[in-house]
Amino acid sequence: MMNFLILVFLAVSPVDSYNQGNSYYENGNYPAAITEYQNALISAPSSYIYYNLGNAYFKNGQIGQAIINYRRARFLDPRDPDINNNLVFARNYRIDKVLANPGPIISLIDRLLHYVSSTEAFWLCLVSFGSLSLLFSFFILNRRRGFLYASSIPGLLFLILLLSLITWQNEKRSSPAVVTAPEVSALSGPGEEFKQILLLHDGTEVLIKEQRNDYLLVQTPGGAGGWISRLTLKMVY
Amino acid sequence: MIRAKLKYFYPILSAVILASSIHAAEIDFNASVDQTTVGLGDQFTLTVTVQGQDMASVPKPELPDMPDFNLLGNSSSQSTNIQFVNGQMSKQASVNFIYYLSARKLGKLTIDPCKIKYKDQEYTSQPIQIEVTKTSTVRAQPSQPGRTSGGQSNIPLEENLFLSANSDKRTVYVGEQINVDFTLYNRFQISDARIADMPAFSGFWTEKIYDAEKFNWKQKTLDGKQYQYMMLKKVALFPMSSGEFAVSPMAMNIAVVQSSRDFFDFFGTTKSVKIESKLININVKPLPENMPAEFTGGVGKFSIQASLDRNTATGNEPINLTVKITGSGNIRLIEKPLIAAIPGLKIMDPEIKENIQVSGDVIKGSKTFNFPIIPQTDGKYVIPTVNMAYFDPADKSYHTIQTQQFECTASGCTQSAPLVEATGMKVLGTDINYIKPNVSVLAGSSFNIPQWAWYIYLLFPAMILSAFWYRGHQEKLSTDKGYARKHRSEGLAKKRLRQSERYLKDKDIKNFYSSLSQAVLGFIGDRYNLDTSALTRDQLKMNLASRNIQENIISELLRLIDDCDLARFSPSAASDLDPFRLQEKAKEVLSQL
Repeated sequence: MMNFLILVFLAVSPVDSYNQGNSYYENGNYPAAITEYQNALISAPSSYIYYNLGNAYFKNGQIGQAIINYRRARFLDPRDPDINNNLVFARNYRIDKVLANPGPIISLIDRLLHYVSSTEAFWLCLVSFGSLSLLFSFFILNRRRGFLYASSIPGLLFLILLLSLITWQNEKRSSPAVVTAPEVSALSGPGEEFKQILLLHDGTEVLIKEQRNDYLLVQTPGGAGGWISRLTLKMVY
Repeated sequence: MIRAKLKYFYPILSAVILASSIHAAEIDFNASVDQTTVGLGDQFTLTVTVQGQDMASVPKPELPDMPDFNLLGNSSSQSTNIQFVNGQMSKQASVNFIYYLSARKLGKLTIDPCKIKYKDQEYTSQPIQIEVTKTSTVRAQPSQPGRTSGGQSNIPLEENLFLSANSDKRTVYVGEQINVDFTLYNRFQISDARIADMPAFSGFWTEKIYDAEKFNWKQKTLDGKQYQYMMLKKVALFPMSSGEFAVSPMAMNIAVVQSSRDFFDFFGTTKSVKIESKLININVKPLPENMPAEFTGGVGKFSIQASLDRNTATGNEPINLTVKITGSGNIRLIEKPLIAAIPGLKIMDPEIKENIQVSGDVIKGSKTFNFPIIPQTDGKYVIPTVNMAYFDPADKSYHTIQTQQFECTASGCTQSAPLVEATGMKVLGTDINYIKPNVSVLAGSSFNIPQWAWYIYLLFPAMILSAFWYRGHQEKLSTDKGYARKHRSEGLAKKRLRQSERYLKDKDIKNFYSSLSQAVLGFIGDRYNLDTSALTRDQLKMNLASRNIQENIISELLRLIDDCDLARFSPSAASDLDPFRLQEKAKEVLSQL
């Protein structure tokens, strides 16, 4: 009886759910793997679980869900090459392609600001701000210019990290969502009776702008927008 | 003409008789005259023709009663045409019964229908109108009795030898098909005919329907006169733009045999004439304005089909999208259908194949557009429907037709080609990266930053502020003597009190009192920046009072100083003083200042 209780306890622990999900994945049982990974996520989010869950969704043909989980994994661990690779791969498998291709400078800045994760950015920001304050205090106390010059290094770091932190927080607050239904038509107003103005497919990334009853006003990266049912899409964060 | 036929008649006759088949078939029966306008008393011929397959026993036709005409004589001729098609023999034989007549009366006369009874069936020909004029203006008929055959030379050209140009429509839309044919009609014996000028079809796309390669005469009755005719050319024209267009005439050089009076001169003399067809004017209307965007120039009736040669592409191999347009109309003028751009796929210019057939008089066929599609990036793609609009002149409206849509998957094209070559590896396809391995501990992380962590930031401004304060303090210590003395006062007083306590312990009463007095006075001096050694007791009292110090503290302080002085300078008088109490008193008073 005691052993059984321990087994039950272990089975629901996130690590075991995660490992169990991996073995289902290896055998090609993707729906079961999805369930296990989701159980693992209940206690604490982890980039590994999100990444593997994204893979299981991708193999199960759910591009939208895969993109959501890859984006979550990337939020937690933005430097992981697997996560970035699979996110790009899944995005290419969508029916709606994104035409906009940012220029080299913009994509470089984007990569720089996403080099550290949100949490890392926060703590590094704190450290750099602390060093900046310390060096400045030293300068105040003994008026040595060297401290002032030295404080410019943590100062610059602090500014960059602060921008990165703001970028991550903005990304979270802009309420991004991904279409998970195979095909959904965006309407000109929040209701069945309105005219269909846009056809969206599984995996299209949108921003939620407004909410009315069961309808959400969404905006596509291209700038087009429309009202779609709450059930056809899922928030990323 | 008759004699010309007779020339070939005899060798064929036996064949006709042999070839007569048993089964009955329908026959053609008609009557014609060589001239519809004759002079009074002039000779003309009435030819009654019986055409059919089995002509073994054709009875003589029954002539109607002709009270207005004289029957001058008669003859008959036969011809047969045997063809073997796929081993089956078909015969076409005709018997001409020729009657030489002359009119008795002036005016419009009618030859009543002739009748023939053949295999228990009666056939009748149409009645023929003859106009009889006073004088024989039509031809100079040499009256040579005894010569009843021939004599048909010098017939005017206009009605007996002409080239007709016909079009089936005169008003068409741009791109609509018009058929134009050129036919030679003839009632002479012709030894040679050559096309002198070919018609020009400027402004039209031309498709050949028929070109005569050899003489192939057929019989036809026009206005009661029998003609030999031959279609020379038939073309389908497709106008390329709107406006007024003309098909220029066709011209022919023809050698007409003028029959000689001499019976033994078979060939006679020939006369060369040039004849021309009429100009055909064609009015081409522009297509209606409400043209759909998908219109690619097709006019007629079409259908569209599309196919994809495969659904998956690896590497940069192209996928072929084949769009086939089938139907009738101006197929050659149809341009490639528009295919919407698909991000990630490069659609190349199509390879075009045409297959045109003439079916009846209609131009039919198909045009195939083969679009190679080259995937540029991996992914799943939907090739949208290909729409094509055409104009149907039959219902004067545009129709849009479309193909189905296709899905395809491309893989292995993000790898750059040089990399593959350099390593010698062949990229077979791409997939997502594999899952992360099993772990014993999962590093938990969060999307949110805890609230308390933000408060850590407040520490740092506090640090800077305190640095500022400390800096200010240090500066005041070095510049403001009073501030510095005050800052040091407490420490010095404590030090002196500790010294006095040590004296007390050592029972060194004298030094005890002097150090205690020094501690108290030194503290007051440091605290208020006073030179206490230069001050009298009253000055000290006034100075302290001016600093808002409570009266009882001042008096206690003064008493303490007095006690110390008393003990120092007259120890005997101060024997009742308790040094331990004084020490405590000094500590208490100094802490209150």
